Amino acid sequence: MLKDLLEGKPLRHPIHPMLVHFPIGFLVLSFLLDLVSLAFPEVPSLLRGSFYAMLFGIIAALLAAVPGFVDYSDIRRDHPGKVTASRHMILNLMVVAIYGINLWIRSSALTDPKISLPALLLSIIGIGLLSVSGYLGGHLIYDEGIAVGRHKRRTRLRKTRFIFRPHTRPVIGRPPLFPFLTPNSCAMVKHCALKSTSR
Amino acid sequence: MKSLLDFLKGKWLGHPLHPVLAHVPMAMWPGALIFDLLSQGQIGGNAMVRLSFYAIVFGLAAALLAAPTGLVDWSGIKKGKPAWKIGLYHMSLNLIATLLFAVNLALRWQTFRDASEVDRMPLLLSAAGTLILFGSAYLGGRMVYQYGISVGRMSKKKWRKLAAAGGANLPPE
Repeated sequence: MLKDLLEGKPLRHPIHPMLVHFPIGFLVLSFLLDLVSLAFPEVPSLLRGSFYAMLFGIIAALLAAVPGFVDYSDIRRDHPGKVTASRHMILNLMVVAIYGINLWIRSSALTDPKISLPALLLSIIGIGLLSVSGYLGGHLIYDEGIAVGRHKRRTRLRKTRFIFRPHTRPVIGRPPLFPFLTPNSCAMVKHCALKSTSR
Repeated sequence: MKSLLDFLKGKWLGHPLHPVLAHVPMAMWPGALIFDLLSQGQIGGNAMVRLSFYAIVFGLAAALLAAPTGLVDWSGIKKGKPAWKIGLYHMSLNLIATLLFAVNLALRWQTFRDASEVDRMPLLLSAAGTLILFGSAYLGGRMVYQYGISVGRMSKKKWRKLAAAGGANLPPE
């Protein structure tokens, strides 16, 4: 049940790809602010902003790790995506560790006007690894099809949510735009009928 | 022309380009809302106000880059498919969100250098824009995870070969 929830089946959309926007976005923002602070040293509080962005990025990465790990554990061992997913996970763990150290280095130098060399280097390495890892994550979806259509395949039927009418033809209608907002709508009947015949 | 379309589809990268670029506004604009709320809660002071401003700028820049790639991806969907309509909604909502954040940015332009907290109006615009963006992003995700848009675009040949080797009844190309 918890597994289904973390795989986003009630939302009918995987959760991990929703959350990864945030670590990627925030960590890239942090790096960009570092670069801007090198180019325009007279602009105040760029490095402080970079620090905050990094903090949010790390928190978001930790949040995204939970559904990510559930998704990972759901890939069959003989699927070609398993290797990619292992690499994706290892790289992500490295990125979080690197940014953890980076944040710790910066926390004692928040008022410095200039970025310290180790902090900048860690950011460069971190962004590099994050790009590779993000690419692998995209490869998992767009080439290996992980999590695509997964909610259609194995959602357990719940009597309270779906109307099941085995003797009528399924209602042909447009599927709802936001299906999790309209779980009892007529359009779900089609969905339900289709699924139950496939079992 | 063909090569430009292939570039926008991300063939050179081996990965569709629109989902890559879409990460940035999708993180920056809700991020701006969080920073706005923190600055209203007297956390971070002017650094937070500036951070929010930079986040919106970065988001807008990436959104402008992401728009043509999204348009190309959308133009590849047949008009009768359900994903076509979803794509249309996705695009319209994105346009509204982008406009809202552009107005938002204009409202901040004069004050972000010195203000210690974000005004009410930009904060409301951030909240509205974020809400619309969430709806739009969900639709974008539906296009991928429900309808498989741009899935297998780069690896079609590989999967066809695998399926043919397994004796599958392949549809014509």
